[in-house]
This record gives sequence, C-alpha cells and structure tokens, in this order.
Amino acid sequence: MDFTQAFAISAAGMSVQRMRVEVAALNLANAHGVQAPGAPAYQPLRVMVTPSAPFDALVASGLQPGALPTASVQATAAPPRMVHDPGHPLADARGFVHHAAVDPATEMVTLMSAMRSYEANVAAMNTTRTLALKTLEIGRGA
Amino acid sequence: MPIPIEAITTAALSAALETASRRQSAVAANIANASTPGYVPQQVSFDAHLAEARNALRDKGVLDMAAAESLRAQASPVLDAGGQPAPVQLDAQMSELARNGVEYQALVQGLSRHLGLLALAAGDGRR
Amino acid sequence: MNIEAIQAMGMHDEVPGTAAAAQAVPAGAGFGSQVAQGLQELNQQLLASQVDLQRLAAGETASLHEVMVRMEESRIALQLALQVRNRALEAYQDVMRMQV
Repeated sequence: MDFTQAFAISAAGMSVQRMRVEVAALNLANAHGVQAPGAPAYQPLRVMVTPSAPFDALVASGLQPGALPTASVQATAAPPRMVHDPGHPLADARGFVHHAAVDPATEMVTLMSAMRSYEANVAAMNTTRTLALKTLEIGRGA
Repeated sequence: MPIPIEAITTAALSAALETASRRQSAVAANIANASTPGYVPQQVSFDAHLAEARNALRDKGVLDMAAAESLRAQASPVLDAGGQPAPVQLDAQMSELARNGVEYQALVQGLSRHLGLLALAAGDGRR
Repeated sequence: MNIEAIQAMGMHDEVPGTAAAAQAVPAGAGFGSQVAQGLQELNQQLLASQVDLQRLAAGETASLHEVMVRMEESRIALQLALQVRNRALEAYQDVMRMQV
C-alpha cells in the first residue's frame, strides 16, 4: 500500500470540492446583480471535473498516479433572467431588466453536495492514515 | 575499509527523519500563518532532492554514504508563477501534515527496529 | 477440523521471501555446509531488510506492510540462529567439562 499516493488522491479530491464551494459562493454573491442591456453579463460559473485519462486507460495502467481528478472553471451560457420593471434605470426598450442567471437553489444544493463530498474525502484520508499506522505495528510487542 | 551497510542505513534513516521533521515545522508554520498578510509559505521539497538516492537505488540496488546524506532537505519559499508568495491552501497543508506524520512514524519504527536488530546481534541473543 | 479451509488460507501468503529458510538440503551434505548455507540465507534476508529500509528512507513507500513483515522475519531468523549458536556452544562446553 503506497500511503503517499493515497494521501495525494484524497488531497486532490478535497481540492476539487473546495473549488466547487468557492465557485458556488461566487455565484451566490453575484446572484442579484443586474447589468445594462448590451453590456457583458455575469455568467454563472461551473466547475467541470474530469478524470485525467479515459477510464480504460486508467485501469490498464493499474490506477497509477494520473488517476487524479482535474477541475476547471467554465462559464455557463445561460441567458439572463428577465424581470419586467419599466421604471428601473437599467431597463431595456421593452421594460425588462437583465438579471444574472444564477439559480440560488442550485448553488445551495451544490454547496451541500460539495460539503458532503469533502467530508467523505477526509474520511478516506483518515482511514488511509489509520491503516498505515496499523501496518507499522506489525511485530511490535514481540 | 568500505562503510558497512548498517551504518549507511542508519545515516539514510536519520537524514530522512530530519527532513520529515523540518517539513512538519514548515507545514505547522504555514497553518499558523494562514491569514497573515504578506506571509511567504515554506515547503520542504518532497521529491526533488530524492533524485540522487533513487538513481543509486535503481542502478546499484543500495545507497552509498553520499546518497544517504543527500536525503536531507532544506525549507524553501513557495512562490507562484509571478514570483509572489503563493496563498496558503489550508486543506493541502492539512493533508500534507497527515502524510508527513505517517512518514515520520514509519521512519522512526524502521530506525528503532534496525537498531534493535543490531543490538540483538551485538548482545549474542542475551539481553 | 476442515483441512481444506485451513490449507486455503495459506494461499493468501503473498509476501515474498517467506520460504528462504526452509530450503531442502540434498541428502548426504555435511553439517558444516548446512550451517554455511543457513548463514548465507540469513545474510541475504538481513541485507534485503537493509535495502528495504533504505528505500523507505528514500521515500519509496510502495509496500509498507511487506517491509515490516520482512523485517520481522529477518529478526526472528537472526534470533533463531543466535539461539542455535548458544545451544551448540553450551553443548561443546558441556562436553569439554567431562572428566575423562
């Protein structure tokens, strides 16, 4: 058992979950932003987590280092949310105000799922640590 | 007279222990200063200084004294691509703390059993 | 007692180097050569443990359990060899003390 590699795997998992939390928090902070019509809008961000290689390649290589997940942040192409408010200073010609297309419910669910996944990664790391320390007890007390 | 292999093993384990101990101090300092403005995180390299020892193991199967001594490593600052101090990633530091703790204990166990074996041989099997 | 079940448990012994001390000696070999061969195997086991520890120091932690098991085996083998030596020495001293 290579405990160094196991720790690196759990650490990569925790980094990915932390990035999801940061992106969700950023989206929530910008949830009620408005923009003038024609100006670039705040596009909600999304974290894309992909394995570093196709699964059959990973299995063929025996899950060597390289099986770590990689995360990248991308902008979604969601259209802005329209709210009818003709008296608003930033309303367009038809009286609609463009709001950022952030869905708070989705972001809250992402936060909760990222937290649970983070806890799961921490549990995996703690288990690895316990196993390694138990391995060191082979032959103790002889 | 060539240096006996037991002495080389003792030196290698001691050097690795010193490196692990320095790494523990660096990570603890990083965690303590996680929110200090302008703090430069420290790290003790994990793989970079092991090249000489690993080459010796791969080519000759054992270490020599120079390779054993090369297992010692110094702390160095962590800078990002622009040369500025990188921010402290708390979860990465915590996982490094856990990993290094296990490595330290493994090295201590190895060293104590190694010395115990030598004491057994030196004591004729009688305590 | 289920012999097949107990024998099946032995199939999980994947740690190499366990049978080093149990090699058969060809019939008719002298006691001296048996002792020499046993000492050679013990030496090989101890050297393998030293190399394992050096690999551990160099950060190659691929199989920590194998390292620990091999170290314990070589320690037990050394203890056995020392006990055999002590008994042989005592027997020799007993013989020398005999009054003719």
